[in-house]
Amino acid sequence: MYHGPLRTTTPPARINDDLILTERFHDIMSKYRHLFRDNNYQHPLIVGGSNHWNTKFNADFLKKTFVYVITETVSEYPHRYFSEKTWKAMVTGVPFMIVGSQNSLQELQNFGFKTFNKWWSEHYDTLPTTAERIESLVIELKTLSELDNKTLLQIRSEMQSTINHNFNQLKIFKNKQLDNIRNKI
Amino acid sequence: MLHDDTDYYPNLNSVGNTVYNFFRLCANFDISVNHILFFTNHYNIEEEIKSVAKTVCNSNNIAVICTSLWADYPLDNNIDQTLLDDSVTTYEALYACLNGQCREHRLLTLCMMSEHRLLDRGVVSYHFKK
Repeated sequence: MYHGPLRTTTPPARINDDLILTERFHDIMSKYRHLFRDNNYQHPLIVGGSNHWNTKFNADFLKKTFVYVITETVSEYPHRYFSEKTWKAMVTGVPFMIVGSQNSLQELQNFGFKTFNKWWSEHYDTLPTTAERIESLVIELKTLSELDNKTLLQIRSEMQSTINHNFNQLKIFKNKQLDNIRNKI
Repeated sequence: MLHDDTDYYPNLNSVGNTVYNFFRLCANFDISVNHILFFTNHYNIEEEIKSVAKTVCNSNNIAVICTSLWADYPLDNNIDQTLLDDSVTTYEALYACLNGQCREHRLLTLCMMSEHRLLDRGVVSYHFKK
């Protein structure tokens, strides 16, 4: 029995491939996108290729940086979505910021993880559009960029208990999800 | 049924094309969805799935499980092999930002870093060549 057609991704705009941009954001994109579009680059400190199994979850080179800016799979998206990129930060034990769906950090907190609002504002995560979230995150990063190495190390030391908590929470969260699956089945 | 990776939304208030098409196919081929367990790693999508199942397949009995537990979630041995330590004595860069597939929000992030003169403060990668 035929009830109706399937949907295709064209011609309608695919929300995760088409950001909601004001003129200002559009101008910034136009100014710099040629530097990245259709180009490849990998900083020499990075070990392993994209999604290489050895560095998929534990990427030691991340520890040579103060904060991991996670660019998740989706951003202009109606649901929260976490890939190995987010879990990698927890396994490796590095502080993180997320470019992802709105309220991604709130969702991680609901899962029992801790985020880093004690050391910088995470207001960026609550903003309605991706472009606003990115700009606000980058402004936080700009503020951090003005701190010297000694201060960053001091902050990192204060974060250790949060990082340990998240590391331990990975297994707790896994078991919680397994229980949820068992209950539903 | 495993619903993984990105879906495609015509707009933020719409229903994902993959979810819609799955139920549309079930309806077109008269496949009952009443005994399907729908696993998804998109959180808070239950209502959307249930609403499409009701509208397209007239089913009130779809079970949705939101979970991260598949290839994208670390195994216990990934975690056990890690030794957390805070013995870093210096940072080579302020931040890391790793970008695989080209997506608009990744492109905008890098553009915004450039605008704020932060690009050279990071350990960055992008693999945007088609």
